[in-house]
Formats: sequence, C-alpha cells, structure tokens
Amino acid sequence: MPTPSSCSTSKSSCLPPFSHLYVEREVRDHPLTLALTQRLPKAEVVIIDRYQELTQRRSVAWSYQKRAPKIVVAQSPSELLYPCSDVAPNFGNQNFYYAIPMQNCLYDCEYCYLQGMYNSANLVVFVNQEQMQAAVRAKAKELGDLYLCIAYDNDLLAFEGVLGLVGNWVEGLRNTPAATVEVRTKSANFRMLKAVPPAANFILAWTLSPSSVIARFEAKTPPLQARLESMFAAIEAGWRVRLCLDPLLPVDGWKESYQELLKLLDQRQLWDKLEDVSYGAFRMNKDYLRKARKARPDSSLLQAANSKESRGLFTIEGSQVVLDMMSAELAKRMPAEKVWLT
Amino acid sequence: MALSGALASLFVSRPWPKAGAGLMSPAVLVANFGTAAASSQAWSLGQALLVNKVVPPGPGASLYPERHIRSDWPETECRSLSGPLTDSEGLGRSLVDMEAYGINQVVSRYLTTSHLVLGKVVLDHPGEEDTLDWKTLTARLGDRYSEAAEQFADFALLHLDFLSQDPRRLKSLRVEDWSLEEMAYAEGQVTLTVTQKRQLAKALRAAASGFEVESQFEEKSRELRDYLAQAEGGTKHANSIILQHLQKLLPTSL
Repeated sequence: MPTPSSCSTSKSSCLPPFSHLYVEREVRDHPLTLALTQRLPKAEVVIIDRYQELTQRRSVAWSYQKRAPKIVVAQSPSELLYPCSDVAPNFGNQNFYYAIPMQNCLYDCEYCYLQGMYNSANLVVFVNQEQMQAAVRAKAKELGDLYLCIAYDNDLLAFEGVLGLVGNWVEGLRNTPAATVEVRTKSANFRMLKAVPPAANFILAWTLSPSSVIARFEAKTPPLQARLESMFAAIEAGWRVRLCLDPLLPVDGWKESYQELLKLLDQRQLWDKLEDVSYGAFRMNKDYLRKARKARPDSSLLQAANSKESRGLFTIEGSQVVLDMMSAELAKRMPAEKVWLT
Repeated sequence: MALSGALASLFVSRPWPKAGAGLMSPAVLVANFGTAAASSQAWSLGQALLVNKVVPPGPGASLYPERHIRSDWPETECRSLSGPLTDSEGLGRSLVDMEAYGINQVVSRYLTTSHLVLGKVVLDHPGEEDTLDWKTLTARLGDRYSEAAEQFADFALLHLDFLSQDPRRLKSLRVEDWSLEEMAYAEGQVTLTVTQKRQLAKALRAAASGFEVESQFEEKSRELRDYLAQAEGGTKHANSIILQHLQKLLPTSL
C-alpha cells in the first residue's frame, strides 16, 4: 500500500507549494499583495475577478490541491467578524467572535473540519487586515469586552514566515485591552514572533498530540518536541500560553500515548506556566463530515466517526473514555477553573 | 485565427461518479493542445504556452485549470471568442482562441479543475488572417508545432500520472473495490434488507479504510467468507444475527 505522504510522480516534476498567486484585480497593488509577490518572486501571478471563482466551485479536488496549495489574494467580504458557534470553546467569555484573516491551513490533519467546510484547499489571504482589526476595536467598544479567535480557519503562525500576519494583528490590537485574542497553532514557528513584544491581551494556544497521533493523523505538522520548544520559548518571552489537547482520539494504545504526553509535560514542569488548558474529543457536524469524507475517502478516522454526542455532532466511539481519563489527569495538575472541556 | 485539435486521454475502468468527485474521479486527463492568436507585442509566432485562466466569450466567471506539474513553458490566460479578432488592442498578454472555454466548462461539469491541461502555440497575430492564407500561416511555424506537441504530450502524461497515482486515491479505490467485492459476496450468501445492506456497506468501508497493508484486506476477506460459509440464515431473525456478527468482525477502531 502506498503511504499517504508518498508521491509517485517524481518530486522534481511536481510544482511546489505557492507556485501560483491568484490575485483579485482590485487588490493587485495593495501593499500586502506586493509583499507577497516580493516574498514569492518565482510564483506565477494570475489576475482574477473574485476569489469565489476559485474557491467556491464544486469542481475542485481538495486532495490534489492539498499536495501543493496555491495562494489566493483577495478582499474579505463585507462581514468581517463572525459570532462563534457553541461547538467552539468560549473559555467563559460571553462575547465570543472569530475573524478570518486567512482561509485554510498549510497542514494536512486528517480530522480537520476545514476539509468539510471549504471546497478548495488553496490558501486565501485577505488584504483588509486593518479593516478587520478596526471592526474588532469597534465591536469591543460596543460590547465592553470581546473574545476573538483569529486562527480557527487557518494556522496563522505557521504562515508567519511568509507574511507576518500574527505580528500585524498583535500590533493592531495591542492597545485594545477590551479584546482578548487567541491565536491557535500547531506550528514550531514562535521564532518568527521573537521581535514582537508580548501583548497582554493575546493568548498563543498550542495544540499538542502524542507523537503517534501526529505521525498518523497530522501530516505536514511539526513534531511534538518542536512544538513544545516553541511553546516554551513563548512562555519564556512572557506570552500568555494556552495548551489545547484537542482532539483526543481513541487510537490503539491511547492510554499509554496520552499518559506519555502528560509525563513529558510534567517533566518540563509546564502546568503552572500555562494560562489554561482545553481538551475535547473529535467532533464534526453531519454536513462537514459528509464533505470531508468525500475529500478524503481513504480516511479511517473520518469513517470511524459514526457515533453521535450530546450536541448532535458526530464523534468516534470510545472518545468518552479518553475524555474521562484526561479530565481526571488534568484535575491532578491544574485548578478546575483553568481546565476547559470543549 | 486559432484552430485546435483536442487530445483526450481516457483510462476509464470504473463507473463515472458524480461531478466534483475529486479523488474518486476516473483517472482521466483532458489535454487540449492547439494554436491561438496573440498580440505581437506579447508573444512571438511559434511560442508555446500553458493556459492558467480561461476567459469566457461573454459575461460569466473565468475558469482556472489547476497547474500541478512543472514546465518550462510560460503561462498566460486565454480568451475564448466566438469570432476572429481584427486587432490586438487591449489584448495584453492574453491568447485568443475559440474553444478553450467550452472545453473547460465541460471538464468542470464532469471532473475537476485538476483534470484539464491546455497548451497553445501562437499561430498568428490578430488581423493577419485577412492577408495570409492558412497554408502560409502554418508553414511559418515549421517544425515548431510538432515539437511543442511532443513536449506537451510528455507534460500531459506526467500530469495524468500525478492524478492517477495519487497515494490517497489508490488507497481510496482499494477500499472501495474491496468493500464492493465483500458486499457482493455477502449478498450472495444472505438476504439483507436495504437498511441492512447500507449498514454493512458502511462497516466494510470503515474497516477497510483502517487497513495499512494489502495482507489485511486478504485476511479480513477470508475471515468474513469463512463465517458466511458456515452461517445459517433464512429467517429475518437469523439474517439479522448474521449481520450483527459481520459487523463485529469489522472493527472500526483507530
């Protein structure tokens, strides 16, 4: 059987990631577009009218695109902030919103809901970042406080070396204390933020999984050790750091795998340095799951998601036992008010 | 004006799936190679190009054939027009032809943007057709057209290989084939209701997608068939018990 990451067509024949930049005509001279073309001088620039021409068609093949995604540069639609659904953790915040500075992710996790959400695997970078940040400031002023996630539909920090969008958001919202911003990542890219002084209203949230889970289900992501080092570098630099153990998967030998991960975190004396911890099982709504299975018909994980949990979402049988174990283990390590089940 | 010949390489061995089936689409590549017109300011005669954007003759969204394979040929857009163009004004670096959009539309309907490659050789500059006959136009290209056609065929074969040999695609097809085979075998041994068939198909697919090596398919087939050979069905209740047992033999654990 071929391994999922192997490529039978010789690697030198295949185009690398970011070989093409599809740029909306209206934003071709935008500073962010120019920065991208400068950063990727070999990329072929194709002028487009609307980004939806490329991303919303049914006739695109997610898996083929995912092997070497291209970048679409566009103006974000008029709606710049979206209220979060209750599937996502609000960490006790009532005014819970998310923004989409970029659509899609460099990584290729088998359980990712983005493959059920979008038709295209190409990355869409929106140029109106400042406009989004202004909308956040206005909303925070209107509501008094705001909890915002900017890396739900992407991994912005993984892309930091290309565009520096996390740094841009930190500087854009540093002086808006009413807005607390979470940047979730699996990257080992904190070094790209080293020059940015920590902001009190930003939380960098790392998703960690046991090495066996990373190897099987989180293609193209950095190994556990590299993520950990990045996380520690952020803590040492003075950032607020959240640990996300999500999704917990009932893989063969799950108990040993997750115990080993916890032991590693114990050895590094991580717990009292964390802002908080969240954990959760794999969950996906019916429509996303159907589409994700179509995008990835080889996935054993997506095929195994046949049980329904209390919110009507699909999960994998056996997940509850893993959640129970993790709940008990986290209770030994962190105060209850710092542990969030998602 | 542009005259093109279409080359379609078809390797169809499975039922044609619904539009946008992605990885499960047949291993088909539609490769369109031909001639086009271009501004003399942008491209010289005989220049070979790949097309990355196809603009419709009238209002409507452009289409974007997905590029996956490296090539030395430059890329540009192609405007499909319904008639000859008499001058190059406003043409920029675009090519002009009469059929790329139509071909692209058909491919988008039944396959995906990854299943089409378009290559063009510049045959003329707009307006020339009025003064030059077809023989003169083609003679000017010399061997350039056939050389480019050969290069394009090599490129198209690599692209086809990229699609057909995708490791995830191969595994998906193996899972699908195995599930269908075992389903057919089970149906020959035991009578199942529509719902039961659906449940068994789901269980077969879920189990097969977890197999990492070929021997796992073979072992599981043996196990299922051995059980079915000695199982005694007939009544609704007995058939239901057989289904339950088959489901137990098909673990979905990760």
